[in-house]
Amino acid sequence: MSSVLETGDRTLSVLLGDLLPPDVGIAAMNTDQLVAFAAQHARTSQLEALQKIITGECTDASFAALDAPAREAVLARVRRKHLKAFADFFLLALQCYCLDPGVRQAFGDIPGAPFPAGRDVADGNLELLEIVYERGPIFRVPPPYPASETRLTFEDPPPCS
Amino acid sequence: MAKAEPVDILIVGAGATGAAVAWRLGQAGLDVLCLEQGDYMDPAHYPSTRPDGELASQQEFHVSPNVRRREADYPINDSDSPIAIANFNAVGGSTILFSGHFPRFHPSDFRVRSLDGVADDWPIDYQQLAPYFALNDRMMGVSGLGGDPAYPPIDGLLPPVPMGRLGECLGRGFNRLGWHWWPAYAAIATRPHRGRPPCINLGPCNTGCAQGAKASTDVSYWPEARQSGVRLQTRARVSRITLDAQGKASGVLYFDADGNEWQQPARLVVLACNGVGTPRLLLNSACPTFPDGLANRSGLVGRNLMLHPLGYVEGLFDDALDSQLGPQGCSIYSHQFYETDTSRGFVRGYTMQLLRGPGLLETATTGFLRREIPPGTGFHAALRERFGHLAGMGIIVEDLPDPDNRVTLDAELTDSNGIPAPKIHYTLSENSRHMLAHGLERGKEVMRAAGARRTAAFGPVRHTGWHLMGTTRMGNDPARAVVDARGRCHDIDNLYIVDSSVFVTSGGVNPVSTMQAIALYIADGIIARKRSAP
Ligand SMILES: Cc1cc2nc3c(=O)[nH]c(=O)nc-3n(C[C@H](O)[C@H](O)[C@H](O)COP(=O)(O)OP(=O)(O)OC[C@H]3O[C@@H](n4cnc5c(N)ncnc54)[C@H](O)[C@@H]3O)c2cc1C
Ligand code: SF4
Repeated sequence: MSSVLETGDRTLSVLLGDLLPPDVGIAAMNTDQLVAFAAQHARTSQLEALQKIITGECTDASFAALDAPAREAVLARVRRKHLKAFADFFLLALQCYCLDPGVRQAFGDIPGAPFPAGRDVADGNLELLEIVYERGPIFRVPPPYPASETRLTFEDPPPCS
Repeated sequence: MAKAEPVDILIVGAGATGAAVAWRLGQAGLDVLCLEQGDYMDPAHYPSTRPDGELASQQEFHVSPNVRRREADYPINDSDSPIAIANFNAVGGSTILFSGHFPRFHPSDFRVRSLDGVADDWPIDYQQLAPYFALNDRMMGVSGLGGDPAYPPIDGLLPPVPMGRLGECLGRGFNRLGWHWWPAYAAIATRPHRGRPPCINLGPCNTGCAQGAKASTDVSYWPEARQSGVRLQTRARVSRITLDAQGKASGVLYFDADGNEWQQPARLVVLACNGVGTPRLLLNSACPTFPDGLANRSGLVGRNLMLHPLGYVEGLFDDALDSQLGPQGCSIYSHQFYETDTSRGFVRGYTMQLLRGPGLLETATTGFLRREIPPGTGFHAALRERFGHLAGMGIIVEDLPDPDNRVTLDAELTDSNGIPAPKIHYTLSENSRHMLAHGLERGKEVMRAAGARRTAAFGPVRHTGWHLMGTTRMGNDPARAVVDARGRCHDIDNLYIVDSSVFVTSGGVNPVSTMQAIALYIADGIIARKRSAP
């Protein structure tokens, strides 16, 4: 099989459009980005494996040529019969997708790395602790050691800053 | 084999305890060299500085050396244990990855036999360690809030890490149940502290703090230790401890970065390689005088491994809790179930440690794997419902010592220098099982009381063997302990151990605060000894 990097096969882009469709402020998953990401992490074979499985499941027409309900039926079959290959593929796609600064921003995960500005976290209401404090100590005080057992101390420990 | 210049005191391991003991000895003007198999980390290259940083925790910053496989790592055969060992090997040791959650042992933790009739009492106690806890807090820069009813008074804390909406929400849940909770103790500077900048809530403390706010010892103890004259040699992997004709430690053999073997003579040797690395080194140092491993006449080197089985509880909330923000392991904690109450069906107890929610990628992947986030049209809505809405909670269970839980040497596996690797044999005890089950249920209860729409709980979680204790236990009786109350090996009086291998019991809290206090206390014993007989 020729590499997904080389063919004009639209299986991957249509598949990604189905699995990670556009949403408010986010375009559909970018195929080139995923192909490059997979190559960078030496996982191109996972893209190719699923592409091959899907192609094998589409007997009458290419996956890209099917209408949405037909594609959904193919994917349901693929997930049932080739769960691991599907999961490997989708987890790889998620890694690429969720690390994209634009996607992170759309989910409110800002500022992104390298975090020049830091992030604000609410202090929280410390008055809620009053009631915990008022209930009093909850730790146990151990009994004294027998007088016969001397405790070790180091006299005159050196000063420290 | 080349021979290095002799030193007075040689420390092996530059992590949490090696750094503390090095600083204390250096302050006293002693001649100290530390050998560390790892290198200095460069915070500018920590994953959080990169957009793909979240991936690194599954790769080169994974908690398991077997997955991470960095040059400094040694493999650990943990296939015989439900809990895999987690560590890091570099200047700073495992504190490079630690969360900085910094509770102390309770006073009762040192008197387990007297109070609860199990395990053994320690030969040292909270009272003795109190000044060292305080000194260590100053060095590490510990934040928190005074007045905590779970502890005797603790002073001098930096302002607490902000608990966030998440902490407040769970705090209300604890209040509804009438249970203890308190802002976390954190070895995280919330104000500029001893040259370190404050935390800016980046979150991923477990892949290294690029800001330098978290007190990994490469940025807390080491700069001051080196200023006081302590020498730190990196990429130096110690293969064995050597003995002289009198049966005293005479130094070590080590491999440098190029694989050359060196002999390093020393008058006193201190081990700080952690609860797996230290017994491994002692076992690898077997010799005709100690055929079963150095300092092992008791037969206890490697035995009584305690790991703190960890349970994980999760709650999903309708409200946005911004739970992805802030130091991952430090918000609030509870010791409601810490002290023994036998009506619960187990002895001893556990910590409930609130964890911030996962990042975007982890939220998406775990949601998909649990079939809660479907690929396709429902994907974004389901991810939005979860991201920032999840609360996590670690249940840290006190593990009791059991001689069958142990570190041995693997018959085949070796590190890159050909040194035999450690093998872990570990089974969860009935007591730990009951405690874990109790903790998981109580965790869900508090999540529900706080308003969680959905809860999940499971444990023990596999990749959480990060608290490594008990493998060279402390005690007054040489037949029942490896080191004495001063941290000195009963069998070899110029060989000391300062890491949590010396723990007699494990307590139910993260151990670094206590192990560093012990390391400082042992350092003072060494200083007193050197002063009386230089
Ligand atoms: C992901 C994670 C999160 C954690 N979170 C917390 C937390 O929130 N709170 C807490 O209290 N604890 C936490 N811990 C545990 C804590 O980090 C360790 O318990 C602690 O660092 C152990 O200190 P140590 O000095 O015994 O050993 P380490 O810090 O592990 O240092 C040992 C050093 O010895 C070196 N070494 C080992 N063998 C050799 C050899 N043969 N030659 C040369 N050098 C050698 C190693 O390279 C290493 O640098 C966490 C740990 C991990 C991994
Ligand atoms: S949350 Fe704070 S301590 Fe943790 S990595 Fe970020 S700046 Fe460092």
